[in-house]
Amino acid sequence: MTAFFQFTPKSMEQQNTMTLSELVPGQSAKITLVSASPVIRQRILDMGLIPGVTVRMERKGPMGHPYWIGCNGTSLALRQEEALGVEAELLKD
Amino acid sequence: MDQTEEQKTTFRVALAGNPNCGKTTLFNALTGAHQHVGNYPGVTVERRDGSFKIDDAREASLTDLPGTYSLSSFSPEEKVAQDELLSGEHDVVIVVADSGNLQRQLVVMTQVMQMGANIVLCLNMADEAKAAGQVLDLPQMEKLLGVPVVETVGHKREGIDGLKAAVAKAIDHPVKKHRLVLGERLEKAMAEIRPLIPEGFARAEAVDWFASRLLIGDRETVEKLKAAPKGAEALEKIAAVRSRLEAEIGHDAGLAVTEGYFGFVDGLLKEVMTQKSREDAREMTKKIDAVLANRVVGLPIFALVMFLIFQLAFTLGEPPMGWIEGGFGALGEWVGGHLGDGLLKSLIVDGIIGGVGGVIVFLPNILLLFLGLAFLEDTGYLARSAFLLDQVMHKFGLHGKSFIPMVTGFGCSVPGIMATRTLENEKDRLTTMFVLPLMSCGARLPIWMLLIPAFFPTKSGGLMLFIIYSIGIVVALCLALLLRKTVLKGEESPFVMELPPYRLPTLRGILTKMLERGWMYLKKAGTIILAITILLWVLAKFPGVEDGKYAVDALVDSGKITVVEDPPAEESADADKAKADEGKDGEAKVAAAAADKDKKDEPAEEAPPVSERLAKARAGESVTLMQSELDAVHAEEDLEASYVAKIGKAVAPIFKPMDFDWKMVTAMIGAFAAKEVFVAQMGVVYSMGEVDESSEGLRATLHKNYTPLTGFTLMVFLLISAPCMATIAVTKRESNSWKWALGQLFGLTVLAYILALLVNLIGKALGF
Repeated sequence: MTAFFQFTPKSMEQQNTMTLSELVPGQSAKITLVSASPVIRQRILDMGLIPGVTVRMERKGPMGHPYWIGCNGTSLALRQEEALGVEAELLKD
Repeated sequence: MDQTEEQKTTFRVALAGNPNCGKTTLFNALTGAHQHVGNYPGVTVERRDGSFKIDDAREASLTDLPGTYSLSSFSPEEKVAQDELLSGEHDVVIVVADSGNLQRQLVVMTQVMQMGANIVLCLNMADEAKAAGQVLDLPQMEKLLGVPVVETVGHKREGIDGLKAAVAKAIDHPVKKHRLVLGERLEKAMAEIRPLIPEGFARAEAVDWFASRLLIGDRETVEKLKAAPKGAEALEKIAAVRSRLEAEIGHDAGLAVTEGYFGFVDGLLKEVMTQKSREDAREMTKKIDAVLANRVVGLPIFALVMFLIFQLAFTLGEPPMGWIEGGFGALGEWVGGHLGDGLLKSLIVDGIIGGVGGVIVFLPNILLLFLGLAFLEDTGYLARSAFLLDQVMHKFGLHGKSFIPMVTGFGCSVPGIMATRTLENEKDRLTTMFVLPLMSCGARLPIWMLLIPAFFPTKSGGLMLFIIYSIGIVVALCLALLLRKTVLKGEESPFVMELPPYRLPTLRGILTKMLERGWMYLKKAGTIILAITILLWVLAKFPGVEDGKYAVDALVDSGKITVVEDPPAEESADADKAKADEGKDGEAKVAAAAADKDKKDEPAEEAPPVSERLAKARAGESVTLMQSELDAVHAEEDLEASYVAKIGKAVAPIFKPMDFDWKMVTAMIGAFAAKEVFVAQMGVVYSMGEVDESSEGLRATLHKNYTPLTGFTLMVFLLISAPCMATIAVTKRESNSWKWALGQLFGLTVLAYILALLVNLIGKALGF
């Protein structure tokens, strides 16, 4: 019962929360939750996409994905499946 | 113990770090060994060993571990790196990090620290970071970490002596227990877990690593503990520690540990990074990416770039090809002049010089293609192309990462198949491996170089080459999709890929890479191909027609055929070729050719083809044959009586529907052994039956005897059919099963047969 709240502490109420895939190129967001399948999740975390980190959607691929994410001065490419597993809070400019 | 340490003169050193941090370049700088280095995450897959002198008295054997972002063992590289590091066999582990991206790059170091390695931290590409304005307090960093820290610039070979000195220092004063603090709550949990790990479960220095693996519930470590005495009991207690920690921090332990690693690195950098790099440091890369990675123009630019590389390889390679061709022609003639007629001369001139020369002649094209690919790799553009192409690749059940091995396959399928190790998912990997030989490899380039000019006008040569490569790609994608829908159904691996900043490649870097690959090709020409050429020569020469029993001689004896001396050689397109073309009484012909140079545009007086005249003679008419033509008829009769013709004729009926004759089939038999042997074999088969032995002459012969449609069908078959022996062997090794290797061998051949037949039938229906 309590476990539910432990693992998804705030995603439900926060209005600005969205998945990374919803970001429009140019928008920045702060990661709040990474909730993909274990293998994918660990890889996302290993690449430094951990809660609290600010990311920026730089551009999208020729057919809408993958996504080009700027993070800590470096660039990463993420597929839609992975980006859907990353929740973030939109930052106002 | 101390005494043995003192006596020891060889030490084991390993290089660990992220992909793309310049590890392999450093490896080269240290060992002087020439290695393949790329600018794409994941190119360092194979284990590399070398050695270097640490100082006057000591030597190091160096292992280049696969580049990894972490050591969590999800991918084959991570598993390999983890196992190596946990073995504790290395006296020193050099952790290499790209100075420009320390936040992510140092995470591997924290894990290596937990594993209890004796570390030297090497901050590579220090020049780039400094140019971007970053300032580090190295003495402070050494103090905080308790390990030697050095700066290097691998590709300029700067700081290598300092690195060696640091290795020496680490050997003299080993540190295996590190001050790694992951945060109060984590440390508390780990402190509770450590005593639960039974003695002998792991090296004492690596206990922190196992404690953290058990805390996050890593499946492999848990299984291992379960099997240990009192393991189940310990696991229960560990589970309790985990749930308590998760309740305290509000999220799972796995995330907590990763956060701990990043947190440690952040804390460290706050202390030692006295100045961050400027915000605009990557401005140039961003500007370039705005165009090259652009959603609209990115792909067209990529297509153009690939097209240009092929076109360049095709046109720039032409003049040096002429020189090599001329050189081998002259060599053959010189050797021929010093040997009496007979089997030895035939073996050396027709077999060895003709065969190997026919392969080496394509070296300029291959080097230029390799040069282009090396340039794309080292600039960082290949990673962008993976970004641009991933969605397409994904649609066909492949991975953006499949793209790099497949592009490598344009060079050679063998390294391409080995590069599929970067794919984490077994099914992604097998799919990529299976279809990879459809990428037209460098060894097949000679075939296209022979056949395209033989059947198509020079101006459309580049286009035809582009079409052939494109067919390979399209068939590969369709086959991949088919495999993923049938035998290889299943989940794909995560696609999270780093896009490194653009870098200006060093001339040394790309030339080394080009020459390495070119050397591999030459070695193949010198060994396997030489052996096969000789074997095929033997098959083509024996048993032969017994002397005096040539069918044509009967016609000569009966007076139906009059044999006349050859007129002086005709001038062909240019002097170089004339030199290469003529094979008989050399000097006189060269002189004649030079004299005749002016008349080269004059059409030569054409006698009816030899075959026609022979038919007339058999029918009872009187005809004339030149001596050289008679020799050719003899040789052709010999060939028809040879083993290779027997094999070719036995197999040829299968290829009847595509209009391939037994000569082509004979050469195809060679191509199964190694693709470029096709050209050599065509050369041998035709030089024995025709007067010419250069590929120009061969092209003319082909042009005369076959239609362009047959030529095109032949190319399609050769493109798709069974890969060479080396590829089959490496597929067996990499897939660890004969099933995939043999599947590739027979599956692709059957597919090639079906597609070539379709091309031929459709072509005919369209009136080609």
